[in-house]
Amino acid sequence: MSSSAVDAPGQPEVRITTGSGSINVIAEARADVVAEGRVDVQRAADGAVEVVPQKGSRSMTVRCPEGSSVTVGTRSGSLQLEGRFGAVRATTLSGSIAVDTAQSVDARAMSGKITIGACSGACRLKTKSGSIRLKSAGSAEVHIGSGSVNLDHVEGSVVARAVSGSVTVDAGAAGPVLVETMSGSITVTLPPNCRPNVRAKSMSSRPRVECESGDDCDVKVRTMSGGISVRCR
Amino acid sequence: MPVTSQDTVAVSDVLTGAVAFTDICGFTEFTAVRGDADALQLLAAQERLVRHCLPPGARVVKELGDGLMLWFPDAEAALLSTLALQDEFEVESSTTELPLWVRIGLHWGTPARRGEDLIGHDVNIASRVVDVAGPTEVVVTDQLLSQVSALDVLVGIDVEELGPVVMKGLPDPVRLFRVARAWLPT
Repeated sequence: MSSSAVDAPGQPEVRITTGSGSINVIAEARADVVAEGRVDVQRAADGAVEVVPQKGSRSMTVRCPEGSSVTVGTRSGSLQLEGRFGAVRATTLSGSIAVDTAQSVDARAMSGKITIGACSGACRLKTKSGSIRLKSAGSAEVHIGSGSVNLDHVEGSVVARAVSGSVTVDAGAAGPVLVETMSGSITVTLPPNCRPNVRAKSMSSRPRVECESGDDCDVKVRTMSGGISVRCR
Repeated sequence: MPVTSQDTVAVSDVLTGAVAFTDICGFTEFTAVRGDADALQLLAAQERLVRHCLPPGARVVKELGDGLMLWFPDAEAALLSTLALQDEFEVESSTTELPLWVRIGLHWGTPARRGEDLIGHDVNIASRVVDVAGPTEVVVTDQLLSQVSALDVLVGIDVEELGPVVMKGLPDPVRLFRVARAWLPT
C-alpha cells in the first residue's frame, strides 16, 4: 500500500478531512505525519499538516507524533483517535467518535456515540443521538439529544444537558455542577464529606439529596421528567 | 429563447450581510411533556427576546417551526447581538420553567431576496452551521469572522476554531468557529 509523509517534529497541528469514510488517527513516537493509501499529506500556509484524499472520499489511517493537535472531520464515518494527543477537534455527521487521551477535546456527532478516555483539560461533547461516555476530564460540557451520558470523573466544572436520556456524573469537590434534562434521571456523585450547595428540582418526583448541605460547591440539577439523586461517595 | 431580465436575479436583489438560524433543542420533547400551551409560551419567549436584541436594520426573515431565520446587515452587530441573545436565553431559562436551549449558526454572504424571504447558497450554509452548534452556543463561519474588522469588538469574546467541518449537502469543508463570552454576565 502506498503512503505519503511530511516531516513534522514536535507536536504539530494536523488537519484531516474526508467527504465520507472513517478516519483512524494514531499518535505514536515518530517525527512525521504519514497517511496510507491514495492520500495527500501537505503543509498548509499556516504551517499545519493537511491530510486529504486524492479523489472524493475514502477511509484513511493517519499516523502522527504523540501530542499532535488534531482537527478531524468526515461527513459519514467513524473517527477513532488512538494514543496521546494535544487538542482534539472532531466532527462527524453520522458515526461514532472515540478518543484515547487528549489535553482538550471538542467532539461533535449528529448521530453516534462518543467515547473519551482521559482529557486533562476542557472536554466539550455533543451528539444528537447515541451515548456519551467520558472516563476523566478537567472540565466537561456535554449535550445529548437522545441517549445516556456517563461522566465517570470530572475534576472541575460540569455542564450537562440531555433532551431525553439519563445523566450520571461523578464530580470533583470544586464544581460547579449544572445538569438539566427534559426527560431522564440525574445522578450526581460527589467526593466523600463534600458539603455542596444543592438546588434540585424535578417536576415528576421528589429529589433525593443525601449530602450534608454546605458551600463547598454549587450543584444545580433540574429535570421536567425523571428522578434526581445527589450523594457523596 | 433569450434570457430576459425577469429570468435573472437583479443586482439590487442580492444582499450582502449575515444570515443567522436559531433552533430550540428539545422542542418536540418539551411539547410532549408540557403540552401545547407551554410550547407556545416557549416560542413566544424566544421571539420576544430575539426582537429585543435585534439591532437597527436587522430583522426576523421567517419562522421555521421552533427556529427563526434572521438577517443582519452588519457582521459585528450580528455577532454581538447573537451573543447577547444567548445571554438573554440563559437568564430566561434559569429564572423560569422555560428551557430555552437555543443554538445559533451565523454566516456572512450574499443571499438573494425573494420577496421578504432570502434564498441561496449562503442561506444553505447558515442553515447547516446551526446543526453543528450545541445549545447555548453561537457558531460562525470564517466568512463572518473575517468581516469583524474592529479588534475591540472581540475583546471579552473567546473565539475557538472548530476546524474545517464537513457538512451535509456542502461539497467543501467550511471553517467554523465557536464564539462565546470570555466572562459570564452577572
